[in-house]
Amino acid sequence: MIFSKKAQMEMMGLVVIVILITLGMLFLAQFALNEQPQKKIFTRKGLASSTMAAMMKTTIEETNCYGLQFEKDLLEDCAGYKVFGSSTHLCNGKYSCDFIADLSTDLLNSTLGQWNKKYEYISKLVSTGDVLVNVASENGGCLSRKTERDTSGSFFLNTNVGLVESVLYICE
Amino acid sequence: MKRKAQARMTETIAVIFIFFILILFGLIFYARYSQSSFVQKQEELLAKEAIDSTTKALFLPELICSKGEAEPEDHCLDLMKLRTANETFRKYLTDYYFNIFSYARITVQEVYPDDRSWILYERIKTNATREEPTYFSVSLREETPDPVYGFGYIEVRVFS
Repeated sequence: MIFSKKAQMEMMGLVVIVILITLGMLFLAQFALNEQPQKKIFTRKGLASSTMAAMMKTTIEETNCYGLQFEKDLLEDCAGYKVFGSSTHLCNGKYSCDFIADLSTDLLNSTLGQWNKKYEYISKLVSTGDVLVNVASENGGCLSRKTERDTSGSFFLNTNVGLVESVLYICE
Repeated sequence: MKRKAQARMTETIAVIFIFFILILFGLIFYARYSQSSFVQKQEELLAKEAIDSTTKALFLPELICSKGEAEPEDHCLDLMKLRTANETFRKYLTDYYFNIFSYARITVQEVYPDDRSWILYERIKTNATREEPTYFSVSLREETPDPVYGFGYIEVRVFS
């Protein structure tokens, strides 16, 4: 009887230890699985789409391309250049694809780059998968990242050589 | 018999001591956790305020690109409105805009084609301990016969 009581007490002790360890584990799990703040997610999502929309709408004010639009005129011309090898617009002495790449690098670097965000902007022909423009931040792009990455969503442009899809990724 | 009882007493005291040590650890851990979660909560609230202010600024009729009764353009600010907005903001700062933006500074920066900036609203808290900037890229529309779109961003910095 005495031994049985002692065994019961030991069991109780073990139960208390197990409960304490479980509580500790729960606290740790709460810390480890803590979701990233909503602000970061909202900002990245909003930034990607607003930056892409603003960039696509931008009117060019450069020699020989004054008044042309980034997406409607130059991206279409760039798609034509990739397929037929001829370009209508030569902005600042550069073919439209090169000009778009340079301009988007400048625009994204002076905004997202300044705010320490990594980014990657890609425009490609949907039918062939040919990449027209691929611009990434200096400290690496976002294509290989699967987590903490947000996208502007696809911006489609119907051109005479097929559909062009443009996407901007922003990651931490 | 007496020795056995003494040993048991020592054992019990040791167990109780360890138990209280564990409870003390738990309390310290919890205190630290609640302290850090309080700071985090404050930061989250400030961040939320920053987002709210940014959203309000982006959709202010005084700034957004509109055309008659048509839907206003998203992520677009009208340069013609921008040039005069500062005056309006300053005129009605205390009786209208302060209720919307509280302690904050709203700046619009043009990146392309020119490099210009406009401070639209500024009410800085003198003893502010925190500030939270939020940025959003926007188009800047110049209302010529054919609209011309520049590229820029709006910076909303809130203070608490």
